[in-house]
Amino acid sequence: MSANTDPVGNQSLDRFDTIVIGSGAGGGAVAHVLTKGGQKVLVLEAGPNWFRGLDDPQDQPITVFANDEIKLGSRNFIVPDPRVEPRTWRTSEADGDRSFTGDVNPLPKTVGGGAAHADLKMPRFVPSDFKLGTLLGAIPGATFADWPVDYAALEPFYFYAEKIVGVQGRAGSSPMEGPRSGDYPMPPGTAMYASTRVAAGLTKLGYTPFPYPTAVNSRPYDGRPPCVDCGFCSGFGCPSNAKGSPPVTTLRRALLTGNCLLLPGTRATRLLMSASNNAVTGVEAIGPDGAKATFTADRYVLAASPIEDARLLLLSNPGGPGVGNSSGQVGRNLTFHLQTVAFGIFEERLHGHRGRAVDTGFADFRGVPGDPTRPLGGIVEISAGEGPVAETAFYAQIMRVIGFDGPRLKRLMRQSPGRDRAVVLVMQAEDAPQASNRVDLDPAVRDLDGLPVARVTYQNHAFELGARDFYSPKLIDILGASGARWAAIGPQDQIPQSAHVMGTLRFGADASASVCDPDGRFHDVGNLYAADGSLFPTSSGFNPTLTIIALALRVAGAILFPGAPEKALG
Amino acid sequence: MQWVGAGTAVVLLPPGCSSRAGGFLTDGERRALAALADGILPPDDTPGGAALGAVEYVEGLLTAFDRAVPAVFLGGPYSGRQPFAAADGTPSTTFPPNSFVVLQPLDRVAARAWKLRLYGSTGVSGGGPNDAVLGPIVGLRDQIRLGIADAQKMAMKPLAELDAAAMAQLIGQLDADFRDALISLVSEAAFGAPEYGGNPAGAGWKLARFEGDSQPLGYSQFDATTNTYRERADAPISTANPGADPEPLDDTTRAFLTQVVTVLGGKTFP
Repeated sequence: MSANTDPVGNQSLDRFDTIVIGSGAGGGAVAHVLTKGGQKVLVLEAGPNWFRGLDDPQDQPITVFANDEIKLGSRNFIVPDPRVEPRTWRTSEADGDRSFTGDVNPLPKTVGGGAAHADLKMPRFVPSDFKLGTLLGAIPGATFADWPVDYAALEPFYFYAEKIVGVQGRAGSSPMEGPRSGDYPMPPGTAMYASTRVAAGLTKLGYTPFPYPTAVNSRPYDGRPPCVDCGFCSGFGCPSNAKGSPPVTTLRRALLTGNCLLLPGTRATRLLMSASNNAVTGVEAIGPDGAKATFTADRYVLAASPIEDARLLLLSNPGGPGVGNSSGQVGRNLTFHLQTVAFGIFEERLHGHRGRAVDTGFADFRGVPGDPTRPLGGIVEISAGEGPVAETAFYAQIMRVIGFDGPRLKRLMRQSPGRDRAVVLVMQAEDAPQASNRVDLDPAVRDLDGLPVARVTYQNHAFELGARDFYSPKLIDILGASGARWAAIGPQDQIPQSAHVMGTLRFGADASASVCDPDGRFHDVGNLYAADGSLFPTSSGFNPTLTIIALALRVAGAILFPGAPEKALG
Repeated sequence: MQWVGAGTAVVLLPPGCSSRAGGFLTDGERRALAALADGILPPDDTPGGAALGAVEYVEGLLTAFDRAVPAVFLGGPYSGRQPFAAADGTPSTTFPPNSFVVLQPLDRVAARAWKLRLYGSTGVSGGGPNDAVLGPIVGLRDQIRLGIADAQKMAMKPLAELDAAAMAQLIGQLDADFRDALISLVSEAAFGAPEYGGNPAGAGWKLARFEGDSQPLGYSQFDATTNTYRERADAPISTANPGADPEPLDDTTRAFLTQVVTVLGGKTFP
């Protein structure tokens, strides 16, 4: 055992009201609300804890996250290593058991989950995102559905979430945004030179750039310092706690109540069920020393990310359909965002390594549901080059196709077209849900503890591929209008790599067509809840983290105040 | 650019010497690896892969488990190369200690992963979890050793004696997985934090015109006395760099970029 798996919080607690599995955006939010309401909460986190003093009321936590491309980028500091925790992938059953074993949408496993390393772009979804079942009508092969909560019901939770993690932005700057009950807690910070160039190009073409809402301090906020725009942002944990990640916001608040215990390095492996399978009686886990342990509480909340949540339900019912699966929908309707990546290279140096990963975006390509002249794409992030190790990998990838050339690599690193002169536009497009896009257990591939790993069966629908084809030339023209000399669309990954993972336990009122009810409780299991992206019936075209937090706040609110979850925000 | 603190950086391995405790490579292998590193990132009027510490970096990784705390993950949050900002946002004269040099422990899962990654299925009791389905994992130690031996065989003379053209040809003929591993490792050595054993005194960052780790000063300095941000004159965020481009694109690179975007179906704008 090592220090980074030591328990954190109140170690004298000996019984728990709720066990939360996962300490990311969703788990942290649930722990915050429940402990504020007086519940005793145990948080199980599979990964290590890279903070000291998360439960220290006097001082800010200190982290070992750093401006370090090697440990974060090359050495799996927080992302699972596929040698011991692989996933498998295939496009459909016709591929056989699997086509690939390795990295398949790996989200970080660490205290804070995927939200510990992310650059924390936090736009809200827009009102129409919650109604796509109705607005789009039947689309062959797709399973679009309305959400059981709409924008208005979620708005108070959005507003609270923006305050609790500290989101910077400018109200009214995005033409698509829904009504807000108040402004962002902080104004936008400094914009990168690269994004000012693209913003000028967008304006010239009649589009509307806006400051990207991000959970990054632009002022001293909540005891945490303002961001210094160090440049090591997306994929790096924040060295200074200027990013409002779960460990330093929601989870820390939970730990400071004295009502919470966090166990890092503790991998939930099985839900133990009552004889009639309608109640969870405990959760089995493997601790940091490799020994099995069982934890019990009155209720259990899954917040381990959509793929791992579904895997745990299937592991808990070997040979059966999976816990909570009378609908047959567990693991299904898995969505990502189809990311279209357009890169532009300028003659001049743009020094995109100075600044946050993304400070500006535009939503003109989100489209209008049902309007074939404006297909549903998604928000576009304006980002730029980061570190030189990633830059080398970019050139090496090109040279894998056209042949390796050392002197050319050296020349490129010196002149830096791929980093210091680069702009990258990333469109996060709506991914049509499909019942056949799903998570199940691989029949043969195992993790280090001998447990079946998640198998992702996934292929894109013509819906999102059409949007990609529609908007790709426009993205290239935007780069041209912004001053790029060269612009192209990067090749699409066949194996999905987006860190935006949604679906698998979609929520809804109809128990035959959804896994969880409108409050996030399993239709089949009275004391089991989901509180992360797994609930999403559809993916929207906006980054999911703020909606995960808002929804998790609401799930926890409904546990405390059935029928009136917003009371928990008071 | 400031290098205060760099003098206290602990390089994970001493410079190459013939037989040292805890080493992995033979002298001949070190010379061969240095030659290959120069093939990946050739020296010109700036240092190549070998001078940028590729051998030291690679051997440091391959022998990571020879230490009480495996030398895999360095610490943080700061290296001490940059100062704290003063209350008005200007750089102060106070530098944090270098916490990059504090090795971080591996938990049960990471320890297992890294043993497999370095030693392979045959070098770890119990092997990999999926050897029966996917075949054994080849460890990086074996991959580097066998890759060097194969390269030696192909060259039919010591790699250090190949001229640049012959080395370029050899690199093109290497096993693709070995070549990919070499590219990654040489790049990490050259452009990663110096505390990992490469990038001596930031020489790789200097040739790439990259300022390196920038915390805690960063580029945007918040002035708590006026509640506003200010930028650094020497390294601005929101405006063009001051002064002339120290190393502009040349026509060779322009032609290459045109070729790349053409292959990808993109556009070159006038």
